[in-house]
Amino acid sequence: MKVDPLAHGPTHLTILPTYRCTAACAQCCFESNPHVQGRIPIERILDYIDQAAGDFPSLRLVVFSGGECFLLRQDLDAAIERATSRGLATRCVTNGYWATSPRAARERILPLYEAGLTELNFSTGDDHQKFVPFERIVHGAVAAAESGIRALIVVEGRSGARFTMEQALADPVLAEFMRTSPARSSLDLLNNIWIPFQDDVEIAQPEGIYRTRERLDRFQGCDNVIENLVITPDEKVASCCGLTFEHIPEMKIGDARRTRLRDLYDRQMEDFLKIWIRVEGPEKIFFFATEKDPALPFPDGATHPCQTCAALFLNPRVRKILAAHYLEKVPEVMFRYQMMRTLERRSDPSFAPARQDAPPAPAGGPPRVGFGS
Amino acid sequence: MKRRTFLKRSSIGLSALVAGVAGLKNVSGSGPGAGRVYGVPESVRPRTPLQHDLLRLSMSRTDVPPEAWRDVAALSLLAQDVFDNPDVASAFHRDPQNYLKAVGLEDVRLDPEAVEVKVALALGDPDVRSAIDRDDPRAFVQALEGRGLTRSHELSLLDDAV
Repeated sequence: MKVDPLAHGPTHLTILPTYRCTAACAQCCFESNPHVQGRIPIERILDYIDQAAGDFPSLRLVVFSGGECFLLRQDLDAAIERATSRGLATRCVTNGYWATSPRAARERILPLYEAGLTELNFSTGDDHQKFVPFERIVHGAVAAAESGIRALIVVEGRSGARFTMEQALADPVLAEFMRTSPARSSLDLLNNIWIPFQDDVEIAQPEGIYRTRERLDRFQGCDNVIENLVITPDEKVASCCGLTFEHIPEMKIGDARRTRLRDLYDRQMEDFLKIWIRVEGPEKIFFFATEKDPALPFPDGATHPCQTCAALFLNPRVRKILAAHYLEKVPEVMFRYQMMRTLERRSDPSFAPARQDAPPAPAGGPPRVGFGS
Repeated sequence: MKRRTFLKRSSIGLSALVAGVAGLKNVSGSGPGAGRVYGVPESVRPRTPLQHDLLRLSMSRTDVPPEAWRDVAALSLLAQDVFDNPDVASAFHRDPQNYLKAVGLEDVRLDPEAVEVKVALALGDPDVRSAIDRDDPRAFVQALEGRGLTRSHELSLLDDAV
């Protein structure tokens, strides 16, 4: 499949510079902890940002996560500065360990602000708070919002959690900030869906969250695969940054030290399964397999699409069925993918040809459809 | 199925897979994947390419039959034409199955409930087309909403995951 670089490319570049973390959450998808070694050298982080900015016109955002990306210290500032200089928005995801006081938070955020950081996400909840107290999250999020950086506090979402969104909002400092600060519109909170990675614990969710076969109609294509190009600490490139991607070997598409990101991205388009997941999502693909083999049980216990995706890739029966029958789906899925891409690009003014430089339309030719043109 | 069953099923399926690709002796209970729902992540133990038995659904010329490629090419053209050629958009909107048959795609089935298919059909709708021709995004969105084409009931997972 020939890839048109203007039509196909990721919107996000996610750099996971290290899996080392100051915390060691029991259900961390990467099993990060303080003893993990290794990181991407800053020179190569900067090179990856330059490559992505130059080779992917679709790119909008560079995300720094981990592990704990703040362990990069000043290198994180330099990476954000480079992404900003290339016209890209930036986001950091952190556990907030560094915000030990309001002053410490402000001092750490200042160089990030000067580097152009646009968004700072804080992870918290029962697991995280065994290592980082919530007050540090508040220090960091408030300091970020007050300096003009969009702040987001993400609370582990699960039934029966000890620490909930309500408790977060009841924090006196946060409550006062949300009530009176002119910067309060720059701070948001949300619940994610916390999922288990160790089988000695059951994490339940409200009934409506479960991605059962009966709810198939409401599930959509995955907006992470193909849209997000991910570089791991050992400089492997992945097709997505889903919660289970390190458990799915197929999500790795090559080594960034040996091959340019553009080539790796284009190469993955030879794999129909990635496009299929983008268009229909793992639930509908798993359902397709159950139609071919009715004895195959649908993973009704999943609460997050990444769980279904892992169940799909790691189940030998599903793999066998998909390999045998995928050609039946190729024309329809490729049509939908082309429609999706065309619609996205034509809805994005930055992809419209410049009016002054645009070649004249052929006389009597059809008008170009799409806003922003 | 009980939710706990899902977890156990995943573990069992995974243990077998890991044992197969990595040559591990311990399948369940005491192997490296034991206790982990999806086995050992590569963030902990990088694998070599030789350890992979990768599932790739090839889109290469040699693996996809010529007739399937013809269908893909014709549908790709349709995906462009519904935007750029009002006559094609209108004909597809009036009778999609008949249109597909007329262009040699009689064996192709497009899911009428799929959002992208609905959009392709809507582009031949006179109200939607008129909004586009007038460069009127508000009328365009209203026309799409009137046809149930806006996607809003599931939040983006992209932000959630990184």
